[in-house]
Amino acid sequence: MKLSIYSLKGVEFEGETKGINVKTTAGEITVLDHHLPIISVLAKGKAVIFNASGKQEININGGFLEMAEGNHLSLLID
Amino acid sequence: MAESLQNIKSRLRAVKNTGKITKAMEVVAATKMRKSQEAAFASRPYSLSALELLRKISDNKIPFTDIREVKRTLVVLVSSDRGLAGSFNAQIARATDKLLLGDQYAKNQEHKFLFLAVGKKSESYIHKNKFELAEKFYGFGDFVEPDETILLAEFIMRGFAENKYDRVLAVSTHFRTALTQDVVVRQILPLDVEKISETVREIVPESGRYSNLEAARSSTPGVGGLQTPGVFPRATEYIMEPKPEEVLNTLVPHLIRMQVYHLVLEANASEHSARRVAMKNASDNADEISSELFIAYNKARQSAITGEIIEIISTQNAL
Repeated sequence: MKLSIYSLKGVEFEGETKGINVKTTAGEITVLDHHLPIISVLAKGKAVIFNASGKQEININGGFLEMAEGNHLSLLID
Repeated sequence: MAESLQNIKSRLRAVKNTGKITKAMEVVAATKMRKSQEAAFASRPYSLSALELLRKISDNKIPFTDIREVKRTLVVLVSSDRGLAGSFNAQIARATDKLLLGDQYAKNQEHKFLFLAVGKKSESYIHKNKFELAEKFYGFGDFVEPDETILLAEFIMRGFAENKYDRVLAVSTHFRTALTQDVVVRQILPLDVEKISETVREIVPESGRYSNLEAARSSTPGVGGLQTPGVFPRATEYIMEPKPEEVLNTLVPHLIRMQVYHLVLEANASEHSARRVAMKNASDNADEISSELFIAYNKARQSAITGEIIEIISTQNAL
C-alpha cells in the first residue's frame, strides 16, 4: 500500500510499504494492505513500518491515521 | 569651499559603512524570507490532509464553532520583534486602528477588546495606546518551530474555552508576493473551516518562485486540491477508533494550531521581505550619497590645490 506520513515540518515518509504498526488511543494496531477504511487517533509511541527491505521506526508524539480507499494510508503526526 | 576636506571624508566613510551594513541585512533578510516560505510549503501536505480528514468526519458537531454573544474580543497582533522593516509594523498598527473604529461591536459599550501581542513592536503599540494586554509572545521572528507557536495557539484556545473572550481576530500580514504584502484581519475563533482552507490556499504566493506549486501539489494522489466542504463525495464509510466525537475533539485543536502556525510563518515571510525591500532602498540610497560625496570631496580637494597654486603664483609675482 501507499503510505504517506506528514508533519507540520514536512513530508516524513512517502512510499510503498507492506504494513505499519502504530499505537492509537484505542490500542495498538497493525494496518496491512487493503485494510478497511479507518480513521484513528495516534498515541505517543513508535511506529514500525514494514518495508520490502526491512523495518523502519518513526517516533510519534500524537496525530491521526487515515486509511482511505485505494489502498492509501496517511498519517498526520505532530 | 563649502565644507572641509576632513569633514567630507569622514562623512563619506560613514555613508559607505552604513551601506555595507544595509547590504548585509538585505542579503540576510532575503535568505530568511526564503526559509520562512519553505517552512510554510513544507507544512502544506499536512494541512491539506488534516482539512480533508475534518471534512470526512464533519457530520458531527465541531468544537470551537459555537457562536456566542460577543462581549469580548481578543485581537492578536502579529508584528516583528525588530524594526528596520520599512512600514511593516506601522501597517499593522494602522490596520488595528481601522479595525477598532469600524468593527461591528466597537460602538457597543458592553463590548471590550483584549489584545495579544506577538512581537515586541505590537507590544509597544498596545502600551502606547493603553490597550488591555492579555499576553505577549516574543521570538517568533526568525526560524519558528511548530512547537513554539503551539503555546500561542493553546493560550488562545484556553481563553476561548474558559469564556474569557467570545471571538478571536488576528491582524497579520498576508504574503501576496515578495514585493507586496497586505495586512488582513482574520477570524480565528469561533472556528470557520472555510477560513482555514483559505489560509492554506493562500500559502502559495500569486507570483514568483513558488507560485506554480499549486498545480504540482493537487496532482498528488490522496492530497488533492482543496474542495469546498460539502462537495466532497462521502462514499466511504470509515471505521472510527475511538468515537468520531473524540477524533473531532483531537483534530480541531490541531487545525487551530496549524492555522496559528501558518499565520506566524506568513507574517515572518512578510517581515523579512519588507525588511529586504527597505534595506535595498537604504543601500541604493547609500550608494547614491556616497558617489555624490565622492564628487564633492574631489571638487573640494581640487579647489584647495587651485587656491594654493594661486597663492604661490601671486606671492612670486609680488616678489
